[in-house]
Amino acid sequence: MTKTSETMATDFLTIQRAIEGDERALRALWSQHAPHIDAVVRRLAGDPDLAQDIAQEVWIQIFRALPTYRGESQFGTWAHRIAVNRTLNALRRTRRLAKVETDMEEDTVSVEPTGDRSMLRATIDAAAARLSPGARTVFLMHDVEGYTHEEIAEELGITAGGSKSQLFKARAKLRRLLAHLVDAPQTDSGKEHATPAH
Amino acid sequence: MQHLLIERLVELADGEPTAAEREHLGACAMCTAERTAYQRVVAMAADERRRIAPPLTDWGSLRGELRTRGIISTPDEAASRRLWSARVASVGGRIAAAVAILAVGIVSGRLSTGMSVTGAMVLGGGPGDESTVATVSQEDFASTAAALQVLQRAQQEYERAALYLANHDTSVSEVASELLRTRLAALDEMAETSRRALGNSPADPIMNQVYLTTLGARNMTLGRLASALPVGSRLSRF
Repeated sequence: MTKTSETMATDFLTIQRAIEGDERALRALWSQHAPHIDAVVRRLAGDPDLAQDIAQEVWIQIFRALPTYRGESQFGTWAHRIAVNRTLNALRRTRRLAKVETDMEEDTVSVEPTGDRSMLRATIDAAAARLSPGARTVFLMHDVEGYTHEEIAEELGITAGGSKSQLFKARAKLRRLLAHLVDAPQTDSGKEHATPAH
Repeated sequence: MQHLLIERLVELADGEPTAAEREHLGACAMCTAERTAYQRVVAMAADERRRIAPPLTDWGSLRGELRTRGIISTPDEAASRRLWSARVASVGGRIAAAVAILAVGIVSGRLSTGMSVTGAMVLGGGPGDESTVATVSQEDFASTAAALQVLQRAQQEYERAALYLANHDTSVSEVASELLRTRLAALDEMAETSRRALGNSPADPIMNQVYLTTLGARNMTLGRLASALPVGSRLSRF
């Protein structure tokens, strides 16, 4: 049995117990997957307080939907889809995703170039926060979460062409906002996106 | 070749260039640098995907909410749910049977009033037949279990009402024998139709149920017909 099939088998048994309402099984699923699921919610929501409210609702939805899990994909992948869907719904409710904006700001992010990985993450977070809500959502769903344009179109109720257009705007703006990082030559095989000290 | 358009360079961040574009990129440092910059943006996004962080949720508050909503069960409740899951399939079969019984009842009732088999099997009441329109609650059930419970209760009520009518319905007493004969003829026709359908799918549980229910209704009608005949008369047909 491969590691993946072992994981899926373990998940399956845990899920069976979780469907029956077994608290330990539910907690095991939460413990194993919360770091990833909650990170998805945090990214899409943007606002930490809002993300916290949505995350709880996302987990309740995941557990409610457990009987519909057919094991066709890994549990994490299945839960990830629910997390994205529920977060987008919650954002629509709060009118943060009311319309896909097309205007693009020309500001740049003022961050100090650094090779520290956590600072780089903060940098792309900060840069993505400067995008219009529509461009930001499409960028996160496509380039971070791995959705196709067709899937994004379905989730957001836009066309695939509209999704491509928003992604272009997002990448173009991020490229400018992060020019100090992406224009510089890489110091160590490009893994750290680090800017060398001048 | 002219410089690649910015839109194309953005696409090439995670796309493959054509042969002509590849040739241009090999010779144009500016376009190559731009493409590399976009590729780095996309790589940073991919890094973000692998990012994990402390959970936003804490088990304490989530647990409370899950208990409130009935998602977490006590050990007794969990055992009960296991038992319930094991019975779901058989309950599903019984629901299908209940629907079949109801359908047979409706159709045989219509046939006994002289309707054709085709007409009797058409769903819904006739034009202006408001008495057949049931009042249906628009409210959702609280749970699947609640819906199943209502369905089972409805099945029991139907069976109880049918039994009562079989024993106490005197509305047809004056013309009992003729109505019962009509009903019997209709049930015979239904039994023959369902028997043919059963021949095509002998293992179909719903068709089995319809067939057996029809035969049961036929026997009951035969019994009533015998008792409705004038004293001294004997049943000589059917």
